[in-house]
Amino acid sequence: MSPIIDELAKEYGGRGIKIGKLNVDESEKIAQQYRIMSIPTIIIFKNGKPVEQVVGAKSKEELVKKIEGFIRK
Amino acid sequence: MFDVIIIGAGPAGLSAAIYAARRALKTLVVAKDIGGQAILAPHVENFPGILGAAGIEITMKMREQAEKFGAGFKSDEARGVLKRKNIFVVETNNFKEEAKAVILAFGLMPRRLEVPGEEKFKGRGVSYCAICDGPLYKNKTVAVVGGGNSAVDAALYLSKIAKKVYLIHRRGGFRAEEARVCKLKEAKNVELVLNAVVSEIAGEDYVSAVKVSDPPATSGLPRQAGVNTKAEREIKLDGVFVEIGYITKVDWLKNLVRLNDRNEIITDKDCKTSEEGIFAAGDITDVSYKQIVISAGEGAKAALSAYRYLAAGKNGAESKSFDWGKCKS
Repeated sequence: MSPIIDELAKEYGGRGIKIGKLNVDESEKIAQQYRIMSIPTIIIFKNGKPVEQVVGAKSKEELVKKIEGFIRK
Repeated sequence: MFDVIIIGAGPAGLSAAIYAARRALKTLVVAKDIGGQAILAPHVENFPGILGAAGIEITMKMREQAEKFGAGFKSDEARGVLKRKNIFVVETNNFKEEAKAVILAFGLMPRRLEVPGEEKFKGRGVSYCAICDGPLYKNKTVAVVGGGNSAVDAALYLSKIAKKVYLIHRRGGFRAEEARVCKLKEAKNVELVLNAVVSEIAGEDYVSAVKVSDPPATSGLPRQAGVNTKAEREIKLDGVFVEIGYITKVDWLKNLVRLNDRNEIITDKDCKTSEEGIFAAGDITDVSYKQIVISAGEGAKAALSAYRYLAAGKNGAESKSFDWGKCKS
């Protein structure tokens, strides 16, 4: 999953979208706050609020589709 | 159009990609994730030349190696392989790609419990990977379902993280190695729930309980054995780890290649399948022993066989001659 996230971070870097990774071993509290029960979990935030939580490995195309969907809304 | 499309990116698929790309075949790997089951192994100590490394490290290096030699990667799950004259079309939900030869190396999938709630709570308390998701259950209550080595290992691993671990097994004894079972019995926070099957996984947004009952009469397993279970009862918990082995997922191939009675792809010693131009390697095939080094070896063999098939021009295309222009220096 990680290489896909890195690619997306590069491609969306200059477009006002921040893409990051969280190490759940180091940041236990944040993982609990968002009830992360499985790795990988991807959360999309819009205006600071989580709008979608995706659990399990997804293809790059699927993630792009989701991100684009929230940009247009 | 590619020379070869490899479906799957575990040790077999990645090794095939390295060998195919080094033969200057135009190579594409289509896979939903990288590493396959190997990423579940925290310590690999039996891969020759590697004294010890995590499965994920080894497979990430394999990917890097394949890319270095020119193999391309597209991440998606293959949904079909169609044959058009001498060309194969590999389809996913998002794209179609064509190739002159195909290598099937998509491995095995965890077996499902197939009980109500399992699908709904996948990733919300239901997990198929104790190593991956275990650390998220610190000081929580979990259950492991199964009785083989992987179930016992998962329960042992989780007993060091979770507050309490139930090991639910449908028989009275374990198939796992004795040494492992002994260790498990020493762990103070592990409770064995034997002669019991999970009948439902319950909760609201996340898992909050499992219902267990006696094995059904039709299963031939003891009923009312009275060891730990009485009819149906509920166990409150936060997570369920399903460790009941692996199955092949081959229905999407729609009988394109011949399978054995265990639904494994039948291959000959050169990794050829029943369909000319389609090769297979690794755990998805009928090869003996599911091991990283064996899958890697089989992947290499499949790629070399695909190369020989293309070089002979058997697919009706021009026979492949050495392209001096591709030499870098």
